[in-house]
Amino acid sequence: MFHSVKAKEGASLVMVICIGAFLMAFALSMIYTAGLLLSRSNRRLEQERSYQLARSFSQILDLELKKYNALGDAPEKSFYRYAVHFLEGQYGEYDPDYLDETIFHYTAGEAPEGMDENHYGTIRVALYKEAGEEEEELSGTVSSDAPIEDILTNPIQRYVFTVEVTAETGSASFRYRTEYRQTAIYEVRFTYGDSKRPVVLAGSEWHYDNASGELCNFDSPVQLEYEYLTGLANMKSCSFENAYLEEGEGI
Amino acid sequence: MKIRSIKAQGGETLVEILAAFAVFLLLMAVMQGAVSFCTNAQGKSKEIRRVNAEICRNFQTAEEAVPTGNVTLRFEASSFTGETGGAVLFEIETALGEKKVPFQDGEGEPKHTIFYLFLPADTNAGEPGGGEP
Repeated sequence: MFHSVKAKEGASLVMVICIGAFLMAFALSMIYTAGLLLSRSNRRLEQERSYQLARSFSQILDLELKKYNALGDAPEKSFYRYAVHFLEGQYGEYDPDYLDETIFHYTAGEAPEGMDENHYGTIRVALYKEAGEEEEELSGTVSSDAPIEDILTNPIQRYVFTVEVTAETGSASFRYRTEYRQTAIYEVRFTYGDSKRPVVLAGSEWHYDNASGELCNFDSPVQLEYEYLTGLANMKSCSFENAYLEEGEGI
Repeated sequence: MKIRSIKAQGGETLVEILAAFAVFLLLMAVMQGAVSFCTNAQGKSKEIRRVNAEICRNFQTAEEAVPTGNVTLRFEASSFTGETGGAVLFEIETALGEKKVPFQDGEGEPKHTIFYLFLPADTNAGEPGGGEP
C-alpha cells in the first residue's frame, strides 16, 4: 500500500515536469518565431541595398561594354577588352553539368581608398558564354559575279554573353544578371575549286592568293566558297547589345 | 495501520497545493511573457515592413544620387566563394554615389536613409547637383 502511494506521487511529478517542459518549449518556440520574423523584416532593407548596388554596378559594366566597337579602341585592362578576349579565347562555353568549369568568377581586390566596404559591400562578377543561333552560318557559297559587300560586313552573333554582378553587404547579397548578344564582323576568306585555293577580290576582278596575284580567268560565273575567320586576329569589330529588355534582367 | 491508510487516501497538503500553484503561476508568467513578446515583435515587424516598403517606394522618386569621388576597382580571377590570388584582369573606374531617401518613422517623424550606389565615372564627382550652375 505504502509503495503504491509513493509510485503515484512519482507519476504526478513526472506529469508536472512534462507539462512544464512542453509549455516552456512552446513559449521558446513562440519567441524564436517572433525573433525570426523581426530579423527577416530587418533584412529586407539590407537586400534592397544589395540589389541597388548590384544593379548600379551592372549598369557601369553595361556602359563599359557599349562604349567601344573595336578592340583597338578599348584601353588595356578595360572590361570591354577582357570580354572580347573572353568570348574569342579558350574559355569553355556554359554547361549546366560543369558549372565550376564554365562559369568564371572575378572579385574586386582590396577596396580602394575612399571606398567603405561596409557601405559598398563586396562586388563579384561572373561571366559565361553560350553559343548564339548563328554558329552554323560561318561559311557559304557565293557567285563570282555577285556583290560581296553584304558578306564582308555581315554581323555574326556567335555568343550570348552573360554578366552576373553579385553585391554582398553584411548578411545580404543580391545577384543581378544581364545577357548580351555579341555581334562581330570578321575577316572573310574566299576560296575556289576543290583545292580551296584562296581568291581575293581587287576592284572588280578576282585574283588568286592576294590582290596582286594571278588573275582568275573565270569564263562564266563560278561558285566561290567563303568562310568567316573567327578569332581575335580576324575580328574587325565587336559590339554588345542587350538580349532582353531591362525589366526582365533582375533575378 | 489505520492512520497510514487514512494518510494515503487523504488529499494534498497545503504546501503541495501552494507549490503547484507557484509552478502554475511561473508557467503562466512565462507564457504571458512569450505571448507579449510575440505581439510586440509582430507589431514592430509590421512597422519595419511598412517603413521598408515606403523607403523602397521613395527610392524611385528621391533626388538623384550624389557622387562623392571616383575609385578604380581591380578585378582578379577568383573562386566561387571569392578567394582571389592572381593578376588584375580588368579594371572598372566608377564614381561612388550616395542617394538620400526620405521616409517617416513609426512616430511620423521625417527621417532619411542613405543608399550607396555606383555611378558612371565621368560624373562630376564632388560637386553635388551636376557641376557648374
